[in-house]
Amino acid sequence: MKKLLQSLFMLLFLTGSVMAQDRTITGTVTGKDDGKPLPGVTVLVKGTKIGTQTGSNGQYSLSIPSTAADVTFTYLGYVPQTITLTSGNVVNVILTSDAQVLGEVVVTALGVSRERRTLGYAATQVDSKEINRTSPVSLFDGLQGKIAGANISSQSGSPGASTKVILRGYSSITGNNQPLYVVDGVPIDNGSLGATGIASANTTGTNRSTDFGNNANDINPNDIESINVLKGAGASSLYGSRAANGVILITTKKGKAGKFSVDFNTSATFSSLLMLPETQNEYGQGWNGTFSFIENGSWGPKFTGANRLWGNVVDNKQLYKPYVGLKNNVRDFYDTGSEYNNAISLSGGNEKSTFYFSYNNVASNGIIPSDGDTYNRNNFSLRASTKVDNFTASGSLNYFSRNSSFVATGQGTSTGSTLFQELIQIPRDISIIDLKDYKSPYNNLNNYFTQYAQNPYYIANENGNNFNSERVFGNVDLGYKVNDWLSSTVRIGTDVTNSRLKDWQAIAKPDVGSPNESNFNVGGLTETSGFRRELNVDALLNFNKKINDDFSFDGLVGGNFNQRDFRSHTSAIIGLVIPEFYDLSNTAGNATTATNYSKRRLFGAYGQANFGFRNYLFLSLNARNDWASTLPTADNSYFYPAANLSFVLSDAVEGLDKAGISFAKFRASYGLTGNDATPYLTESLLTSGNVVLGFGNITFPIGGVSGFEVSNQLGNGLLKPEKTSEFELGADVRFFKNRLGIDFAYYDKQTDDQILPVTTAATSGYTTIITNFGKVQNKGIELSLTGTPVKTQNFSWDLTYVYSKNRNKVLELPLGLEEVVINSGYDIDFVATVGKPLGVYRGPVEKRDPSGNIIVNPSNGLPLLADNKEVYGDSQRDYVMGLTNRFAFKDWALGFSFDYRKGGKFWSYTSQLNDFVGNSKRTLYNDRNPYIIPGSVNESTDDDGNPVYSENSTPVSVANVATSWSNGDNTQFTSRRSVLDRTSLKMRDITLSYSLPKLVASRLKASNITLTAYGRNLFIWLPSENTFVDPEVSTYNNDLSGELGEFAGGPSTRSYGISLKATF
Amino acid sequence: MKNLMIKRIFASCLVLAVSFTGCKKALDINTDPNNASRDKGTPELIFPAAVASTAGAIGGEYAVLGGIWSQYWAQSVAASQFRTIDAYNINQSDFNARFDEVFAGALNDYHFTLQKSQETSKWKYFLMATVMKAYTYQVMVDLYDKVPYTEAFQGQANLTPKWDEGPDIYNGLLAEIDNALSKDYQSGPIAGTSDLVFNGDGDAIDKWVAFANTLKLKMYLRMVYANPGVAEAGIRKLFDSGAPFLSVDASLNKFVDEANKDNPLHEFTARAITAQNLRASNTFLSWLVANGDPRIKTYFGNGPTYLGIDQGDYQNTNTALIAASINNSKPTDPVQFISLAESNLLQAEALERYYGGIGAQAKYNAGVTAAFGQSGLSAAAAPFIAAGGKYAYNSAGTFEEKLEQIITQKWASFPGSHSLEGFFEKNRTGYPKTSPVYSSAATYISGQFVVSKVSFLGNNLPKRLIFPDNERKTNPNTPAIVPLTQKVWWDKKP
Repeated sequence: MKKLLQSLFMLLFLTGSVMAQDRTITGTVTGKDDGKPLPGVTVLVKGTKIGTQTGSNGQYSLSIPSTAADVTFTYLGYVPQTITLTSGNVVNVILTSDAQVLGEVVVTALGVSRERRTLGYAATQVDSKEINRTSPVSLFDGLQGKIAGANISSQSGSPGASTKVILRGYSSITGNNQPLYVVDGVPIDNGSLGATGIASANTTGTNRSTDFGNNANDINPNDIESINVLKGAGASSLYGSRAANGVILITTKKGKAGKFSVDFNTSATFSSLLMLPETQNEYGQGWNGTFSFIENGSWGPKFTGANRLWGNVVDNKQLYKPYVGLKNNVRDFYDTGSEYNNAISLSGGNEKSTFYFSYNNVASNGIIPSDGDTYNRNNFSLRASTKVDNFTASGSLNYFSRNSSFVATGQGTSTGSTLFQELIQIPRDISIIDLKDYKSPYNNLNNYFTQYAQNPYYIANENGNNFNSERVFGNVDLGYKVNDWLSSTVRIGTDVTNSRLKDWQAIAKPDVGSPNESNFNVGGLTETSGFRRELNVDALLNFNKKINDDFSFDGLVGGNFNQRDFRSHTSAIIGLVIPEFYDLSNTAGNATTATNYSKRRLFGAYGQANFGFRNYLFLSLNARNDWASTLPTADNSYFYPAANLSFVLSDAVEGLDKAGISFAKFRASYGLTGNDATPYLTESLLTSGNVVLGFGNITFPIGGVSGFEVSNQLGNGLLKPEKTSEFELGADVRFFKNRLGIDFAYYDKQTDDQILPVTTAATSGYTTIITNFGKVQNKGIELSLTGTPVKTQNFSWDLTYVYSKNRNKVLELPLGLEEVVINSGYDIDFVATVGKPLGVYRGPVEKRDPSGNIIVNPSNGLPLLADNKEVYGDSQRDYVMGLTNRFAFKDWALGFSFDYRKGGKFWSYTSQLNDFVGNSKRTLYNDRNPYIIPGSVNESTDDDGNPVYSENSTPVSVANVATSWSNGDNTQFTSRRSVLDRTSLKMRDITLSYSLPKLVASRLKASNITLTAYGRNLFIWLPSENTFVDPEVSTYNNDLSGELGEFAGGPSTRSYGISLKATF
Repeated sequence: MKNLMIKRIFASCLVLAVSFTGCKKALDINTDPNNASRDKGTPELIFPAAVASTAGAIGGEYAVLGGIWSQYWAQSVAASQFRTIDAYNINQSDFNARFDEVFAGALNDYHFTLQKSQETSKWKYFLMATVMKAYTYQVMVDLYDKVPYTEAFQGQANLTPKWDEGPDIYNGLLAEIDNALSKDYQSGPIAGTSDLVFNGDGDAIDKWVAFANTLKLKMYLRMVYANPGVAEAGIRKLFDSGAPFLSVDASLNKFVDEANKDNPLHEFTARAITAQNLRASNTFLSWLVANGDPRIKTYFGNGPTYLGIDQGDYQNTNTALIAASINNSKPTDPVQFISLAESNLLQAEALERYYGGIGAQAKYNAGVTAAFGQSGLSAAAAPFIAAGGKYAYNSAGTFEEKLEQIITQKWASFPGSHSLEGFFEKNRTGYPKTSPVYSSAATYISGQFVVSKVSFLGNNLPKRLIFPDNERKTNPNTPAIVPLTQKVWWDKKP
């Protein structure tokens, strides 16, 4: 495409009459960015048609008339330059690339490069430099708050943790909201394997779970040339039934014709806590206001400073210490994490062939004081291309291996406890680091100070897991140019991952007769092996025809085949026999095992036609038809059309630049995309007998008898795919020679026929029914402002501001249902309700009389529970925005960015547990003195049986103050308080870099050496009610149901480091 | 050149055409390899899972509720899992999952078994599934007063079934049992091991008939104060026709000491939650101690000393209470549906009510002996029921005195997975009596019920469960919440 335009330009400029030639000027034209020579630059004597082009070495030679005064140098994608001739005959020119001018080419659906100006939809492209500014381990780690309309979060602070990318809001109520990831034109697998042991699996979802990251995070960020985010249906509809959530197009680096080049990048990053729950520091160990040396909370008396005995009596001895609050007892538990990221790439080629090889190694250890949080990754990539006559072939082969351990979050189970839950429960006066020697007589399982929790060091050191995956991903791209307007491409890609997981919990059994006898874990082991494969074939015919000077026409037709296989095998044992020996044989019972196979296929046929008029009006039409195996065989064909229009006003009308408008483009698009079903929803099934007890299960076979149940989920033989239609309008306007740019988009998308496993009344015989129903709307605006307020020879200041606001609304739910439960945490439901955004929090509240007074229990003064749950709020953000500043001064560059997410709520179990154990600040309410709930009343009935209310005079006693903060006893009070404001402001990154002057670098045989000091997520500001946890942390999945919040998630981290990048 | 291109295009089209005819077949792969299709379900496969669901729900979390509300157990001071039960502070969503398990797990599977066995004339299974369905339903009605019945289990055809009144459900169930008893259940092959209750051997179906009769007897007695005429007629019909009653336990007794394979109450409260929440309630413990009842070892361990907690006194800061006697559930305990003891004591009550007490004493003695037998102590029962013994039958007493004796002995036989029955019978008959003073008072009479120290119901005992939140939020036909203090339909004793 780029070539074609260049030729067009040449044609326009190079025809003309011959004039007398008097002198010859020569010179070299180079690009400013890399200093490399630019071939094909048009050199033209201004006001004439005398000109030439630079050769492959960037040199030119041009005879010019003596009258010639100015010479212009133009090159697609670069700012044109005019040189006023002096007496010298050597004119060397350095051209500056301009990413904003007409020539910018972006990668669109199916890997087709198109000029940005021709696109009728928003496409945000980020380049390698932006992605790798702070040497991240995962590709999206540096992009939070930088892409309008993309909500990017890391599930925890740990390297390798899952990344959640949501484009233009949640649209699928219970389905998948993750975008499709496409690397070099081939979709890749973005699944993940969590670590929920099947034997202890509990349907509540709050139990032990471990996040081992999503597969897209395997990609080496250094290998990425650019990421293009296709947010709307107009942009992504060529991907048909996989595109409803947008598409992330990743283009990797390739070898370039010319010099052999080596890129080297090394970085060391250190991390520490970003925030911890804020705690009170006035009251210490005990419950109900009295000291008890076995308690796991701070409901004891006020600190006195006096020395006193604490902990269990061991051999007639007891420890003693001053009774004071320890401000940093939890903070001191954590270590400094480290992360080393080394990457090297070798590339080169000639006019016919190129190659690129890279290796990346990441070795990190997080902030937990054990090796239980490590992440190690090796990536090898090899890419090559060659061209013989009309035939081109290119291919890539990537090998990734990952070895990681993560700390389990969520609720402990009978096999083992979880770390963060135990840490939160430690009284304010107990020094946690002094518990480190967890085998010492006072800290061991028998005598750890409380029987209600376990020594966190025991858990950190004795329970653990290891996740290992090996992945091969590659593609072959064969092209044949039939003639000058027709070419064909066949692209075959496959992505295969093998993974295994070992997750173990030690036996934690105090001796019989010891103080902690009753608190034990039986230990357990879960082993899972997983296999995922994606195979994708595209065959395309591309055509490109210029009809006349005014009209151009290009497009493609093609077909797609996609197959995805998944297989997992999990075995688990509960209860170990030999301590510290982790093998499935080590149990008195039987191992439970389960396998899961899934296979799906998709055929697609598609076409696209692009029409251009005078290079300022562009219309693109495309359509795809999909046939999916996961839909009923009789009716599995679906059609997805789209159209988009781009109008470049600044080229259609002359003279706008005089008004300060250097570029103006308006765009409109409409598209339809889909989300086909997951496999095996079309039929109703039998499942192996399993009775869920609340805690624990009864699973068949029992006593040698097998049993099967009619599945509680009713299948649907009439299933249709979920459909998203989206309309989008936008504008891209630049002012003052591109010093100020505004990109604006408005979209309105509607997702219909959602495939929902709808929670239904169990009395219908089923707890979920697969249905096509439910409509969700996402409407919003996206704005990005780019500006260069200052630009001088040596100094420049660039800033980027992005803002997006999405309004999500559930328009319809299945018949008869007022709401659909998305997820629940304890008594709080996270639901979809008609007329409200997806994800409304509903929970228990205090019972009130008709005038709104709280009705209390006359015997203890605590509120009664209302019959109905009430809405607390929803998780939707009011808006999100980001601000990035970059300053450059000579060889120095300074940059920093902020990410502000305003509004919405989230559920925090960390808050609930901190309240329960009296560690949170707000439990200091009324200095823990007895109080009567303001305005509370008692309820009784009169003689006619009607309720009457009288003023309450029963105070909440000291003994009941703790009870009042217990979610078990007083959920009507505590539940609402654990749903917190989700607002956050984060300083996402700050970077300071220094590039060695070219001269110095060249002495080291390098074309560029840059040293960078950086910080990631250095600061966070939260609203006053959230003193507990970073709202970005989630312990659930990285989709909508994970928006519920967190269950004793770990703290997020801040990191800082230095990197050295060198190019030879 | 042009010719060649046309050929190529033609060839490509051909390839596409061929591949699309292949597509249809290539796309027909959506058969779940992990789970069998529902069409493969047979009564033999489904019935055992349904029985386990009944046992897991009624003998699991519901039994915790029943055991605390029957005052066998009190919430430990050293844990907090069941505080809301002990305080009568039941939250809307507390029993969601159990309710779902009973309806979507147990009852829907009985429904499926009934359909399949009717289609294939497997009348043994038809009777077995009917009896288990009726047993399960009756417990749910007793807990919730009303539940969906006539419109339940219709799947997509009716996602919001209407709720039926308790008496109507009882009548429907009794009719269903009679219908199943009228079939040719003696024909056809034996059920074999998939009969988890009676092992499906030669005479197992006779035991199912006895189970059916005993269940009918229990249901009629339940309505004895609400619909006395119906109750009497039904019971007389049973006795007059010489209907056989259970002479063995109807129970699920296949558990082993292994995670996920053990008694549900044990799995739930002792294996999956390791903190020991269920401790001896002084109500029951004091009664065992006062009578020198040897079953104390079965219920609360080998001692030698026993310590109880007063009902609802879990906030007591006396650290000695941390060591209160733990509910001694065992992994291999059976889940009783109707025990032999219960069968005999139900008959004793019926004989007292309608047959002048003839034979009642024998049934009472057999009941008490069977109850001791559940603890492996049948021989130890003899001195208790012998004349002058602590539990000797008061043949000379009034009807109410005898009823109190019968019900109290039944109460003492239920702790464990059967404990809901103690709560129901207390509500039906008022026995054991409710104490005017708390159990810590000097004047307290051992074995009498007390109101929880932290009662959220004032000076009242709970009478039922509130409708579960899951049902309320998915089925608009669910009635408005009824407080725990409101009696269920059969709770009408003057």
